[in-house]
Amino acid sequence: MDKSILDEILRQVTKPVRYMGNEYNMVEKDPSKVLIRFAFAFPDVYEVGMSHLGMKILYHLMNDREDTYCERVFAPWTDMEQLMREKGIPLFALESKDPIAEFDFVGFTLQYEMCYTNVINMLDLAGIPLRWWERNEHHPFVIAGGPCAYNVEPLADFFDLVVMGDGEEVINELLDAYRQWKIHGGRRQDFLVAAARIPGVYVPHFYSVEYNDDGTVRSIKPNREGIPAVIQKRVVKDLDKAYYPETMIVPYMDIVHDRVMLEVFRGCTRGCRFCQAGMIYRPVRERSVPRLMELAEKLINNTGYEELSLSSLSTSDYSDLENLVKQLMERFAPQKVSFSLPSLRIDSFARELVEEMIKVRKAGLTFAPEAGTQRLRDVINKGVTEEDLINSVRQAFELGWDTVKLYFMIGLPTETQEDLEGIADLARKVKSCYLDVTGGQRASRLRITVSVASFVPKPFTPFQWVAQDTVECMNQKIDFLKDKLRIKSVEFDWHDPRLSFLEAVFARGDRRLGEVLLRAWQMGCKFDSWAEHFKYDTWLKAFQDAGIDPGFYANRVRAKEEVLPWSHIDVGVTPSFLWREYQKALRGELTPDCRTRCWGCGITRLEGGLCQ
Amino acid sequence: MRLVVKYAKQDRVKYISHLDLMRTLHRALRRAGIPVAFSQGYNPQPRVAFAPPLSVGMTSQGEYMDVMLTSGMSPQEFCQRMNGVLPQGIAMLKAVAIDESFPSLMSMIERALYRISLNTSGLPIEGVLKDFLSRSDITITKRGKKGERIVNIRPMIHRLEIVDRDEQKVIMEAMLSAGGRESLNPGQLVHLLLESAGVVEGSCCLPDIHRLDMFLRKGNRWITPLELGEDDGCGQADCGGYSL
Ligand code: SF4
Repeated sequence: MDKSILDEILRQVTKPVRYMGNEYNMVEKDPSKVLIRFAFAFPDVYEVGMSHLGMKILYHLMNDREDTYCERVFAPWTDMEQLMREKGIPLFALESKDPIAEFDFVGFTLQYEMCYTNVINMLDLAGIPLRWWERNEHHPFVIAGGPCAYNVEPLADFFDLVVMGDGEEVINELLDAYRQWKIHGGRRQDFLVAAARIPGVYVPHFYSVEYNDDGTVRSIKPNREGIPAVIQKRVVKDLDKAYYPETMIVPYMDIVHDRVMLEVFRGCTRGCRFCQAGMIYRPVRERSVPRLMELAEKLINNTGYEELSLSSLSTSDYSDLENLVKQLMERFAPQKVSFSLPSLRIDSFARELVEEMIKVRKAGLTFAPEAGTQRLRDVINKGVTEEDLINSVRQAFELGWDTVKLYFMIGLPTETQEDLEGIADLARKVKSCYLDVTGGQRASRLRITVSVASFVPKPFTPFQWVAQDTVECMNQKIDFLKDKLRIKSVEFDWHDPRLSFLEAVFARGDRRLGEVLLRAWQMGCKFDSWAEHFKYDTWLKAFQDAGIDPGFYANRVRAKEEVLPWSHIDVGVTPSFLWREYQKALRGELTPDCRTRCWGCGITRLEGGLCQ
Repeated sequence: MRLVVKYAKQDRVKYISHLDLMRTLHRALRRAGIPVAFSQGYNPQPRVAFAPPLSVGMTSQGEYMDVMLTSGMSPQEFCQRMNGVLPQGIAMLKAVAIDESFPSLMSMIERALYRISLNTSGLPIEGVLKDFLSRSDITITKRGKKGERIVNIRPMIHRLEIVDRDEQKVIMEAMLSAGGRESLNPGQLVHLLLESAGVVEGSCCLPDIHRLDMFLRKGNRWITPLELGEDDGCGQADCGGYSL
């Protein structure tokens, strides 16, 4: 691209650094010397996308291949988009500034449902035909991965292929297959057929979906020979042996997670019934302390970061956490590197650990009781008691903390008014605990934030069959809470229920929703997860124009027999296990952590014996 | 040990803000294994201070930072190690050890010299410049914490002249006040200059602004921060011939 035109527009946009590239550790290759050019696309702005661990892993993994140059591309903010469209600048990759339409692959990572219009917008801005059938030999293969890829049906029209599960191995197999195809030549379809034979690769248009008269799915079947009836997700068995980058790009601008991210384990054994991540990332696989220390050493030296975070779904469950934190402190405290442990679980919140952390830096504290009463916490299998919570906050207050954030969900299955009142009760108890600890001393410094999100039933969870509350109902509950939470030192904030509603529609959507996405985008929807851009009425109009009732997807209870739109995808955890968990939920029965006992979720069928 | 370091911020990184640049340099110091001193307290910060910041979009060959070390290190080694771990577009040019008792760069520096390249097709720039400089009052409204105040910026322009030109462009040099006490942004200067000629600044005439160096007063001379150095006497290239 003409650098002077780019320079001219960068002078006029907010945060030009988003489009600049040239960060330390960015990979530079001569594009003419590689066989495969891959654009790793994150359908949100730079500072969100650059915080994503999966992208960091796959970026360096692909660039370690001599035949491949992986570059990054993010959704340009609206001011940049407008100038690009005015000057006819197609969407380009940050590294080379070349248009991504010239690449071999454009790979999107799908982290949340409300980025789908950005996917379409980015394809359009790149000048790539939107639907798979409109593309030909001159166009890149548009592919996807990430948690939303497990039910990618609403986007089935837009992707040529989709990768399920851990990407570390399958991406190399895919690139190898592409290499063969590119060297030997062939039709576009030939590559897709070859790719579809790779375990974990899903080509949506190789499957035909039929519907019943009542609008539910009748069947999903392969429409050609040699294509598996069920697509099984890929699992990396041994994380110590799995690829992990020894360097990471160091952005100039402040990004959401601006630190070294050390993935200590993948998966989660807790079995919270609302949590999709807890189901789809099974089984638990840990990295060993020596391997983590080795990686930490290299990553700190190669990036110069002043902070390191131990990341996973619930880091306090790491089997050798104390030892790890001790070793990290000993090694890095002299260098003034601080640590953050996200998703600290209140029931394993070890006081000793916190005291060690605080030596280096005082971090913010959040707790996620999720529900207001013990009964409802049992329904969702959040094995945390009020006593656990109060003990944890007490310790935090004793150590000098004055602010805590409490996360809850509303609209959980079986919820009653009592459960909502329980949220306010808990907030009040946390407050009196603080007053108790401090003897009323620093009372004016106390700040408790109660943060509430509407429950979104997700596929591949025990609640995949349940109905979401309507928007009206959720609004009533929020109003109720507003009233109950008029407590001094307590702040209340909530996630827009209309957004949760659309999330629920697309999370459990089918292929017919592709039409809605296209219409919504045509009418200007993008950056939907950004409050200032969210156009709810436009979305409703898009549903209406497409003749689709969004309530059918969000607010309807599914029967056990119903063929769910994602029933041809095998994430390891079986539908029968999920159903069992659903029934136990309705009875308020707990399923304790499967580190204590195996509950037969089905994951051991993949690659065999992973949970032994 | 206290080092004053001169560095360049080139075209490839001109859009990063001062805050971004600070963060970038802090991280480069750690990568380079420089024994930087840290402040005490809960949230220890590296003891690195900066000369007056450069506006986003401008380039420079005369930026300065001031680094406190816990152990000795030769200025040459400092630059070498840093240059091995910096992103393209940031380069350490020269470092000197200075007396630890000197005040901060921010409080010592009073002037900065810029090269401004401006697209002026069709504009009688000589005349515009002459008229502009002949005014004794050029006032602007500054918005600060204490509300708005009227400031005369004319005394902050110590020199403004055309040094080169071709058909489309003029190259000017401007010596302007800079630093903690009073400072004039060269971008704003160009804006005011064009405004005085009745030109509304648009994409047609966005200037390229490049900082050449910064100066502080020593007796009755102007010196660059490098000349504070213990073994770097005046009379070298850095000293320059910039008069009051
Ligand atoms: S197989 Fe058993 S131990 Fe492993 S994740 Fe499933 S329930 Fe837990």
